[in-house]
Amino acid sequence: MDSIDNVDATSTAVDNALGSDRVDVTAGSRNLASAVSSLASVQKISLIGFLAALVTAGLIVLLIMILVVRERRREIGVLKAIGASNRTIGVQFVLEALVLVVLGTVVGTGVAALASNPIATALVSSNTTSTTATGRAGAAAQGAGQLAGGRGAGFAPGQGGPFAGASQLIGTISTSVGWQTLAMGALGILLIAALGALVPALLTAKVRPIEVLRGE
Amino acid sequence: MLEVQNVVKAFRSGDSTIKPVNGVSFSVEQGTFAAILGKSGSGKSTLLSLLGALDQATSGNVLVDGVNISQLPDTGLTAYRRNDIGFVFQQYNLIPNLSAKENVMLPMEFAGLSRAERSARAAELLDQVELTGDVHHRKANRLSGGQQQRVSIARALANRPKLILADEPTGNLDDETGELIIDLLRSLAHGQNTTILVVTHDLALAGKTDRKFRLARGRITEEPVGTAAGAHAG
Repeated sequence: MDSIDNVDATSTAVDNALGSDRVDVTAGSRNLASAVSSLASVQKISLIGFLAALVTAGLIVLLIMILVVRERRREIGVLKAIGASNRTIGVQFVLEALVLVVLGTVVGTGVAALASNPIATALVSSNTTSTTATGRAGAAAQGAGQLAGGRGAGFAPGQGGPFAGASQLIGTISTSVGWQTLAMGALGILLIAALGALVPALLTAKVRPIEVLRGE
Repeated sequence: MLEVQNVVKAFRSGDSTIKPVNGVSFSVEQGTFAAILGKSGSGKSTLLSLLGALDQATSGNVLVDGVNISQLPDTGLTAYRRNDIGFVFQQYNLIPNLSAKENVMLPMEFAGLSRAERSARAAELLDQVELTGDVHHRKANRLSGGQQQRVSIARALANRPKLILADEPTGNLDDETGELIIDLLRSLAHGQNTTILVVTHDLALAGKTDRKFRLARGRITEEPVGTAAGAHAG
């Protein structure tokens, strides 16, 4: 083969010469496409996980702050009785939620930094394992073969197949956190936390000091 | 000066209407130490919450230095509670996880004073109610009942209010501590020209005030000072 443009023609020729029932001829470029496809699915899973985590975090903050407001109705009543405005109390509750979220973000970032590589490896491995298994099954039925000139031209079971290239390509992937990603993630979670804390903060405005203090 | 003009507070209860405060009128000069006596359920605390803008009267007017608080909007009521009155509660109602000093600093924080000003005045007020030393930095939930009530009084004085409203301030204290609190309130009324209105059924306390009022069936009457005639412990 003297040109990359001849890959398909060469593939067909090798296939015809050796017999398509005995060998499976695959171009190396398809291995790369398989690897990229695996990475794309990992990226999709990560994005869905991130969005789900954001929504869950917002809901958790919302529920926790509603419970906090209910538990601290008396304190809210007392604060109002001694001159605190609805705004002052509402802002205090939002700030409390944000402090909790910032602490959670710092801890979460640390855990993510430690766990991201093993998780990425596990995700990549599970994606490539399934494609490699499919390839091997096909190869086993077609007998022996060999790799030549960047093209898969059949292979024995256990020697790897056309997807072994993909496994090797994406086996070297490692994760790292850029400052931009970190800043965007932190901003996102703070916004979600602020939204989650807003409803309970508004609930504090409905607390009437007399209702709380009447229970004395 | 505090003027209460024909104040009514009515509640619906099923088909009937209950009026724990029914056409109450009285006035108290600035710097007076006064008591409102009455049985439990006579409407004393309801009246106090109306005077303290914690609740709204059904009708009538409450004037503090000529300002009718019954007609103030919410923001005005908040400012009134912050600047013009101080509350002393039977249950103290301190913020338990804050220190004594931080509790006293709270109303000043709401009034916008700087941290240095708040800290200095809180220390001065705690000294004034005879709480000194490390008690300033002790958490409220680690103070005795008498100490908590002193902190509560110091907190009520924080923004130099014209009027202090105290709801059964000795109700949870032993006799000796209760008497100390009464003496403290009396000295504050006379020494700082602050009007102090105490709701109580404690006759010992009422006997030390400048004026006494009795609330019964929603109506108020003034009793001569120095008499406990007709007083009912409740």
